[in-house]
Amino acid sequence: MKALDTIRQELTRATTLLRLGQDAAGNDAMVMLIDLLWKGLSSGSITAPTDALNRVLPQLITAQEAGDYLWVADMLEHELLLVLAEKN
Amino acid sequence: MAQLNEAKSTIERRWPGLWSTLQKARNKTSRSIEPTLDTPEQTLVIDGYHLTSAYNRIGEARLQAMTIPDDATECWVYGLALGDLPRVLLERPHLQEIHVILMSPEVAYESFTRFDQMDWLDDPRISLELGSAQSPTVQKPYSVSPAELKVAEDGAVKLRDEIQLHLAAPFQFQHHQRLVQTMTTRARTNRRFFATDGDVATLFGSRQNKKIAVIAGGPTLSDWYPWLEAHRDTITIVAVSSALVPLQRAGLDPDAVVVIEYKEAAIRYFDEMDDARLTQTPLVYAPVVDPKLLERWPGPRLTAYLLGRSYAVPDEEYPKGKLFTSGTVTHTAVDLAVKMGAAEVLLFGADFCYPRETTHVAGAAFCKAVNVSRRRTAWVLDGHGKRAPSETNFIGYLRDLETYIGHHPEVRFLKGGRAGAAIEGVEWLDETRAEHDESA
Repeated sequence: MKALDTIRQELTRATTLLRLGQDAAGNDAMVMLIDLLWKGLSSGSITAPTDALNRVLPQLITAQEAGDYLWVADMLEHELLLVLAEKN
Repeated sequence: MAQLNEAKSTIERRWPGLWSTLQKARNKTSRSIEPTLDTPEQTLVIDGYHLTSAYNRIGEARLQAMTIPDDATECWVYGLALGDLPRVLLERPHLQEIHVILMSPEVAYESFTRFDQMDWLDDPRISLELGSAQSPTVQKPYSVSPAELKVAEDGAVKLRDEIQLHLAAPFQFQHHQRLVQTMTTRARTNRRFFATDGDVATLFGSRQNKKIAVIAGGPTLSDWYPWLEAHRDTITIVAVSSALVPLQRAGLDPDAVVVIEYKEAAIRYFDEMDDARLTQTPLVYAPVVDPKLLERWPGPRLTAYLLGRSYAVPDEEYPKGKLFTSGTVTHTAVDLAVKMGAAEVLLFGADFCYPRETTHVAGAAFCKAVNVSRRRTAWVLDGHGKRAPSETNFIGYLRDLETYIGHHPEVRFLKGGRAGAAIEGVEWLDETRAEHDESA
């Protein structure tokens, strides 16, 4: 399976849980997603434009820290995924 | 404006009195409720929480609606949000009754004011109900608008907590399942202790009709050291692991100490204990605790099996008394006090939140400052009726303690420390102080 597919799968799991109000499980899935993303970017198995990542990731982290989980889900699904899909 | 008037008249006609309740709540709220301005779809942002998706509201509602089986004829929607959930649920011909529970009346008012919901509001299958008017029982099948739970009104907070605990249950269950193996191995290792150690049941009934103070490790404990000292001769003290050292530093020695923590780090609660003052004090322990602690304890040891999921099953070869917990040692200490025969159980340091922005009473291991501004999503009402930052697991423990207390009407429960959580079924000690001072 391509690295992006794995990330997409984990991302869908995280956003589904967050939209259903399962915060703990959703956050757990998000940690796994960020871990996968980090490993993918480090190994080069996925690539992403740095400026786009620098735009999306801080918003994601701020929303996550504030517990604004539906916005987190939006950022993951409608922003991060687009950034990743662009170059992979 | 036409849509607002229509919504208002529909609500006034179908649910008399409800519109004015929503309006009053909106008038007195200090919440920030603003529409998004630059998102693909408009939503509301309540105190920093997006109420719905700002990209695909209906897609999100369809996902949330999937928690309700296709063949359901009745369902509950906790949180109106912008009306998308009832909207998509009404597409199902099987559904005959949809109870939309308004968790936040001020949010509902803004929702009806700013978003047209007349396409579903007058459907006879819909009923609008206030969360504050519901019993704190989750009705099933149900679906939630999760952001609205976070901004629930105070009167609906118990219902909100029940819903959130219910939502967290599958994840908690998985987490507990992962611990079972650890607990079982630990209990096997500790067999060498509990094969010969005493039985907690020897304490049961030993303090019939007495007052027993259960000392937990919350920050408000320190306020009560003078009171405990003044009443020391008339009360039995049962301390939980985290409270032992602070209590000893305050010059108070417990009559029993309870520990159930399986994590090895928990031994740090005992690092600075004054051994010489504990040689006669029983340690009531669960078989899952760190064996190093059992080796170190200077006094007698009494084993207790735990009644609760995921803890190692009792060893039939060595029968011992059983104590309750749903995850916190405070439960176990309370159950011990009740089984010892207490007529009154006095709770100290049982805060279930972060008063004074700290985790524990000063002097306890792991006591540290908490950044409460990052903990807005979980809170309890304290003894002053104010919101106190908490954690989902603390809230679960609190609700389980309330359930336990509800099952013990024969015992009077009192609590010191209004900066901690209010506990249903528990009186405030400061309101009965004169009565207790007389008996000292």
